[in-house]
Amino acid sequence: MRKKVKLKDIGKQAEQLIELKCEDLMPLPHPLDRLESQPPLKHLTDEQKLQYDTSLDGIVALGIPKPKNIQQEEELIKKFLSGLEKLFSKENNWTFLQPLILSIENCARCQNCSEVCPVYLSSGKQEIYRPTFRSEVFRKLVRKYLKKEGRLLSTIRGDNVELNWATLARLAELAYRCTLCRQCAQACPIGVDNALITREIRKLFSQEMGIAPRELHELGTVQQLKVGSTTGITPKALGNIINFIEEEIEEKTGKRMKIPVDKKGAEILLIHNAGEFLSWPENIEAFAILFNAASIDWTLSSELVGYDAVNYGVWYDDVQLVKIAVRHAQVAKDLKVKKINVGECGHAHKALIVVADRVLTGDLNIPRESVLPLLEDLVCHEKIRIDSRKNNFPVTLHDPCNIVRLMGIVEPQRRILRKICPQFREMTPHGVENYCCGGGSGFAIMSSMNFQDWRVQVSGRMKLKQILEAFQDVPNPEIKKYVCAPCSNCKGQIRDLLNYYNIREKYNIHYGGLVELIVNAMVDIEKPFIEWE
Amino acid sequence: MWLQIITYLCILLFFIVLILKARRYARYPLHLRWELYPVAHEEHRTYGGSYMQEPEWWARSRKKSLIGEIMFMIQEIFLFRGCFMRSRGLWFVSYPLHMGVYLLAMWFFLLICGAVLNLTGVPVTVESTSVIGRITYWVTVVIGVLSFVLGTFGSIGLVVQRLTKESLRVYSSIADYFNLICLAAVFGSGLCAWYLNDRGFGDMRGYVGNLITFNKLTDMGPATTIHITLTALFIAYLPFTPMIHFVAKYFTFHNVRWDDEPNTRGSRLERQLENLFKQPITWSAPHIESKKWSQLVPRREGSSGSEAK
Repeated sequence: MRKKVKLKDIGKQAEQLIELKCEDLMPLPHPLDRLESQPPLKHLTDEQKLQYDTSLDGIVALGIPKPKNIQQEEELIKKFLSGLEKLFSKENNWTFLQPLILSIENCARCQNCSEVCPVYLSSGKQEIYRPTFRSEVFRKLVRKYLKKEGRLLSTIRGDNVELNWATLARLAELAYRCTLCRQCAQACPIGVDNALITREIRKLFSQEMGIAPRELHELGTVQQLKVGSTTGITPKALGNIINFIEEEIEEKTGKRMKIPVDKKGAEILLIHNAGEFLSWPENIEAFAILFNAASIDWTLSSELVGYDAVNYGVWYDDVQLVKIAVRHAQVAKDLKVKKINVGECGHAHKALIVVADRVLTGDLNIPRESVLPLLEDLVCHEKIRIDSRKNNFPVTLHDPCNIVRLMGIVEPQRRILRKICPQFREMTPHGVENYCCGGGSGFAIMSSMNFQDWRVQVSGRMKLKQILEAFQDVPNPEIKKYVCAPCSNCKGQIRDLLNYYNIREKYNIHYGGLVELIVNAMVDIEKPFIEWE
Repeated sequence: MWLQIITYLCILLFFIVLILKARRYARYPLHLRWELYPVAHEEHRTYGGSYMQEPEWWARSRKKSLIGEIMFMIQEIFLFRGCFMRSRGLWFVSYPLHMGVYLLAMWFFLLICGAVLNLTGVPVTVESTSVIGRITYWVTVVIGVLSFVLGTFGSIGLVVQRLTKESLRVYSSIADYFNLICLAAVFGSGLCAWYLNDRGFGDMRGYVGNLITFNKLTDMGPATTIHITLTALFIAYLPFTPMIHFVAKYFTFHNVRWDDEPNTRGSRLERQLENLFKQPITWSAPHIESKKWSQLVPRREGSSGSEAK
């Protein structure tokens, strides 16, 4: 029997709090119902274990180097405490102070949240992944070290977590075992938001201690602000990629078209996740074909940051979030566009349209919207000609948390699919209750050491189960199946899920965006647009 | 007389701490949007849809439904719908406990009504010549007994659940058990007082009447005295505990989960933001170069800040 981890164990001097084993994980449906069909979890090398703190679960998201001596340890603890103070100050954290305090002070520990958390359930109910475990550790630290409640009150409340290096290192890693999907918050009868607490913990580590995953910070927001994109694409390289995309469009459709770039006064500035340019150029192509067919007045930007909608700050750092959102708005303002449409990227939707709404004032407050209602308008009001028979294969829809549960954009994508895909079927559950792909909050782009194994085997497990169950009525591997994911990061995660278990080759399940399905069904496009390779 | 003084003080303390707590929550600065769907006032709340589903949503008039919010709150407050849908086992004990609390408040209100009727010469007894007097008598008895039974069952049930269910036990502190035992004591002592001393709640009504008129207490049975003392002390203790989460719940829903108010140019919201941008940033990580939020969000033409300038 598995030994239960207690809250106070977070500060225990031990090599690892838990050891993840495949046999403990939530079972998957057919055809992955046998353990032999699942690859084993990758272990860290001895060298990695020596260099980095791996004491939580043997998985590394952050790669925090171990402190060399006691002075370094004390320095880190001091910094953490100073960050804790700032996190609860009106000046430094007006951005999320009210929601944070409400969530810190009012949890009844009824555990309703645990029953819906995909990470906790997928892990086979590992105690450390329970949404309340992380929050409760943090809550106890706040009461003991920030509010400095007396010994008697501490005993009565069970505030027995010690602040030491082990606690800090494990808490920092633990903040990256939650996808911030906010299923838990939705399930809480009081409205406590464990995902928000997780994000605030990440923020403390980033904004005060400079500790954040390399993929999100150095290669993410810092690179985006410096080079133009988290992918490393520079404005100059973008020109070459667009030329390539135009050639691809000509090859696929026989039509030569010019993709508008930096067109002043255009009605729409379309901003894609720049990952699409590199990994899924067909998504960019499909938008260009569709907008051209519908005679939409649009443009892309080649300005620094203006061609990459991503804003990783939304997951870990308010300052970086604000810098990038302001830059996006500045680009749109300079182009004098009427509005910004965010392409198929979930977190960019949430960051630019919703969260940054209270950052962009005056002439930076340019109207911003999702591209999905626009696509719905084109398809459902027959502004383009559609032949749904061209999409006559089983299609299911993944609901990106950021677009659906966190923004309430639920129906436009469904109305489109019902119109263009005769074999469309929902996952269970779906809509605002859908499960995260497992790549949320930056995980989809985090693959250092053995983290990719964890996000595929644990955080993405529930999504994989949903996908397999959605196609249970079509087990024939001859039949092509399509998972529609209108979000770049979700696509990346679903790609990794399908590759890891070899599902594409064995069971013919493919993935892609929404706009590709629309273009595939267009009457004016003779050859099939979707390439099933 | 000491019991009356304690009661006055406890009720006063309850309201003071309650108001201060609500005031503290209300005074936190405006935060960035962090809503979660379904949002109860949205037109498409049944499936969790928002106004952002419409093309160019900013050009359309927004329909906010107060009825939607009220319906949601009624279902949450009086039926515990969320808990019922997601955690049935917990609902079977948590719901009776909360109903016990609501009915206790209602019972207290009925005691006040009965006391006022008594003071105006309308007897509130089983043989009262007044129909209102008889109805008040019976409703008070039924509501009071129901509250005590449900509250005792719910609070003891929650203690048992916390002790027997590992996921709850691990996260329960001494304070959690103490709070539930306090609740059980309040409801249990009420049940005992009714059964042993005060089947028609005449003593209680008399006590409440004396509270209203500031008259000296008449004699009451020991069980009733114990119940009143425990209840008064519990009322004073309540706002210092997490059991007061109904105050927080108002803010978590109205100010966070349902706060989808868009920021528009020249709005009050924008002016609030401009003031927040004036605050300093003292975070220490190397990438935080700015000293003020306004350096991250420079003043723009057309913003409230620049107009003021």
